[in-house]
Amino acid sequence: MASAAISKPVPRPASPPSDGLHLVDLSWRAHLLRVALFSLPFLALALVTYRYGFLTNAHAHVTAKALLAADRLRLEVIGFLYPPLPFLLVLVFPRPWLPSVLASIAAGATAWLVWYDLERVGLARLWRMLLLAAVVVIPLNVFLATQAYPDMLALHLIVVAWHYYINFVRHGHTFSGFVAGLILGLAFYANFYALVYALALASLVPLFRRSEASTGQGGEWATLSQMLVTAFPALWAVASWTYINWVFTGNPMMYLTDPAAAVIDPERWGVPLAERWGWLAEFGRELIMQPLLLGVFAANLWRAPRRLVPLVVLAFVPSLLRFFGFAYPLPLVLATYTVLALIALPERLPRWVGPVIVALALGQGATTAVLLQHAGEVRQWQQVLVNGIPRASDQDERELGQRLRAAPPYSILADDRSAYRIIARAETARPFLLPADASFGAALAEPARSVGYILVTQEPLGRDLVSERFADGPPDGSVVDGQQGSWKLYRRIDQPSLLH
Amino acid sequence: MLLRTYRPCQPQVTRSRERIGEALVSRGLLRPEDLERALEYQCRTGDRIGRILNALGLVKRQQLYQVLAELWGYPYVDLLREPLDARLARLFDPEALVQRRCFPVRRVGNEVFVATAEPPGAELEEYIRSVLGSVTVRPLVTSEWDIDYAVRTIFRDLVLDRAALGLYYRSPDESARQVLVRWQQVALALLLILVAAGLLMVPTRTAVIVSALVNSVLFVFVLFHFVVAMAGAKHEHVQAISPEEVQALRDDELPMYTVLVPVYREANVVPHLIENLRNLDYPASKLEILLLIEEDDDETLAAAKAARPPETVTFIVVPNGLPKTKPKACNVGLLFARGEFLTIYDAEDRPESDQLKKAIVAFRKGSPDLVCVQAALNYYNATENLLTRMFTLEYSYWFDYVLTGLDRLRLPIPLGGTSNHFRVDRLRELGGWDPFNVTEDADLGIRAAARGYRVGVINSTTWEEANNHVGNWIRQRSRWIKGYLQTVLVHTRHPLRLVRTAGIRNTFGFVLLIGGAPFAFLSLIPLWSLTLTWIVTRTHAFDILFPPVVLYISLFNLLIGNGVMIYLGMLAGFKRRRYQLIPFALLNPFYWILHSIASYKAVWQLITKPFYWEKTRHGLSRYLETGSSASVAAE
Repeated sequence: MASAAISKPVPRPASPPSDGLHLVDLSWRAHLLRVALFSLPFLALALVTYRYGFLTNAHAHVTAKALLAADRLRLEVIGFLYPPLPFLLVLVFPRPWLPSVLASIAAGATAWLVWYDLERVGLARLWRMLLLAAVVVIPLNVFLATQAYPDMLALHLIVVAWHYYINFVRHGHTFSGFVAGLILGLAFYANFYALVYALALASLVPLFRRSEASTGQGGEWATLSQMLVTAFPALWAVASWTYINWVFTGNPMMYLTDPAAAVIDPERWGVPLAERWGWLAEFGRELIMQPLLLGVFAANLWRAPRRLVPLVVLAFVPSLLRFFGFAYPLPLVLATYTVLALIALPERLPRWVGPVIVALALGQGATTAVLLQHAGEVRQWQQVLVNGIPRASDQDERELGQRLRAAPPYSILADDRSAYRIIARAETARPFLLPADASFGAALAEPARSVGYILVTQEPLGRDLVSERFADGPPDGSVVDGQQGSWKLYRRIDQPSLLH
Repeated sequence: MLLRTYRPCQPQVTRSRERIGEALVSRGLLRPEDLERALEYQCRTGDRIGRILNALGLVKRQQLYQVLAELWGYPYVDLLREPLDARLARLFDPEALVQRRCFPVRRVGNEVFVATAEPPGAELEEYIRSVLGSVTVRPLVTSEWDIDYAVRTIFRDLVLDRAALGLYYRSPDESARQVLVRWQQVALALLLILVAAGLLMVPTRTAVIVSALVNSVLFVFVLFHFVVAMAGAKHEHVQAISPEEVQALRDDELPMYTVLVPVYREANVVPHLIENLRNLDYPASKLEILLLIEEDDDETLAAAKAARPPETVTFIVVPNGLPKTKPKACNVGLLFARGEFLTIYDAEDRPESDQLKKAIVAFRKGSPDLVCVQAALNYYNATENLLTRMFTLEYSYWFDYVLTGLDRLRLPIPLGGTSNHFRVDRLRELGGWDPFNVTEDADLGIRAAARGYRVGVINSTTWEEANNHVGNWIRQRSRWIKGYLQTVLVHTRHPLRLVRTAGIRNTFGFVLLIGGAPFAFLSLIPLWSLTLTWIVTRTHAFDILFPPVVLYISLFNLLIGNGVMIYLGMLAGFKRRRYQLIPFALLNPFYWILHSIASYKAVWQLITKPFYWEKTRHGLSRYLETGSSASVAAE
């Protein structure tokens, strides 16, 4: 019994029909169970990938930061890494495999939500299964699901928010509205573009809303209120993170402008506005090569024309962001189109649409492969899995990381701008003395007094202070302990060897 | 008829077979068509015809009982004019006299003359003999009103004593008459000494500990509110009682309902009050409205009389005495309440007409341990000015979401100031209200939970007047916060016992809800001042107060906590579709500053005058004259 007085509560006359609501019709346990089931294939693939030693830069980066914060017990040492949410979740148990696990769970949860939506579309179960499978097996999507944890997390949060948002604007379900807003606010801490989606969804409320007669909620004030509820948490999240940056660094927009920031695209950001119009053709070509998305647009035009405009607006968000120089990786762009297509399928489609949609999904897989043929990590990952041969660099890093793990605390001078992969492989930041540490500067100037080892690379990333300083060789009093791939370890002569 | 004309040697036990209605018609005191109307009413309600005739205003009370006296064959007595034997009367318990509707008037030898409003019978004789021994009972007939008057007159001091100190004598630990019990005094003194010594000897560490504690509690407080509010939002679309359930109620199955209306210096509001109470959809003969007027409030009494209230309204004069509080007045009213259920309304209240019936349905559906159901409170003058908008948002959030959430999570529900509906027998068992607690409603809700009873919520609204003046608002709010502090201090006197009886979950919920609010508001100004000072000056003087973990929690509270609370404030406008109010939730941080000011005033008053009832002025709204203002949006 839920309440002493309310032994059998009844719905209010003006309450939304529960069968129209998304997600709230199942308990959280039921959702969790299904998420677990849908995650299994992704987890299995993530495990296989991990056994081959494959580690993406994104996963290594977030793992290294988490290891550093866990060891130093101060969050400031991560330099206000943005976005913070992926890092905070990995902080629970920082290991290089955890981001893949989390990504797989996020992917499984997203797949479950897509399946949940497909059940309302009206197609035969066979075609729904084939459609989902056709989308999932696209290598890009599998890569995103297992090897791009921050992007997958953000995408998942936005998909969850979308469902609650629909409950809110179409059915007047207040609880859903606030959940949607909160999730969008949380999603900002996973990816910057969550703010844009929040603002987009807020501005599209008038277009997504049903008539006043069906929701019992009418008038401009009702619309404005829904817009405010949708947008407020994301805006507040931006303001909060900006404030934090200002408090700790003096630069409120550091998270946008820092070279290590994931928000801006360094190639596009500096291009003059007048020269950017040419990109539109590129974006347009990408969109045209999304047969599934275009097919869904056509289906909406046919069955739910009022929704077409807002859906098109949402589809343009990735292009809009890139036009203004923000980072939106191509794999994520294409995955966004795919997910948007699936969740935007109108309800109660005739059964004959099933095979058409599946064919379009297969076509989308093919065009995705064409668009991503030059994508670095995706291609490499595919090759590792297909050939069953780990990358040489992965093997080198793994071996190096395991050896360095045994070093005394804070004995290896390194710069995590380049060495983050090694730190992740070592599964601890304890042996390393890094730029975030107070004594780093002194150690850099006089390493012999402070550290026993120096780790440099022949392929430094960003402004790697250590590799830059010791590019020509070990300092006085140190010798080359060994080399592993592009990495060299210098050893103070009185220190034991780590690599032999 | 004065008693001295009664001739005991000639008993007049002649009972007429004539019915009261017919008797009244034959005596020209009632029109036949009025009797028809009353009989139709009786078919519906199953109530006594005499009560119906009186309630409908068809017959005066005195006339009715005079005729009843003739029919019953006993003399009529007017207790307002008849000299009363106080010594005889005080051998009896006043509460029993009220419930039994009788009053011992005089003793002559072994004969005791007893006025009664019920048909005299063996039960009356038995009761009188149980107190006085073997005597001869001589019944006289009088009205209930006369009996109540006699009780108030003869037992004035006792009524006052019970109303003011009844709970304290019964259960001193549950009374706020003592602000702090011994161990609390010692603990507070030790705490102050400890903090002072710490600040002298290890100032940094002490300051860090204080900072950590404050921020940790605030963190938990925000989280708690979030969980409760979202639980309430999740069930926004369910209602406890459906219109069909209310319509299914038959008048003949409805019990007697008492409505207490304590008023003080509210002559300007009384006419509206009478009008609002007329709108209650409940059989008049089963409705007992007790207007509780303070003895020294002649103005309100005169205004009440001038408003010509219906017969269902009875004036109960509350004896003058300390503490002069609303709960004391309500305790007086409780003594005279004859209903099976009882509720309280304030002078400016406009309850929805079917609220009493919804309460009845709720009690029927609920479990036996359900002692009270709380209706929602909201404001009819929401759009009067900025303050009323913020106040309405706050109230909507509290009653529409927080109380619903507490109900859903099965946590203790602090009652609102009015529109709490009780089972009278359980209310008496709980000891009524604590007259020393200035939020007697919240206290009673917690006391009920501590004794293992349940409080529920019903989907009915009472419309009130929101404070539209800042000074008046602060007075009211400081009283509420002071009351919350009193409630926490009272109910944590025996923390282990509280946990044993109410459970750890309920105890935790109670402390966070009732204690968390004053705590949050008291810490608001100091913490925001620190932040503001730092923003303006960028000083590092405060860095030592915020080691890493404390810094993270305090940043979370500042940024996420405040954001969440502003966001939750937006919830408030949705259930009642008061969308124009929602953007004002953004101004909550300024509204909270008012709360903070009020909280410091509350603490000061708790120390200097803990029982002082800061009277809120009502009748200031320009919407008072309108029957239903535009701000009361259709639901």
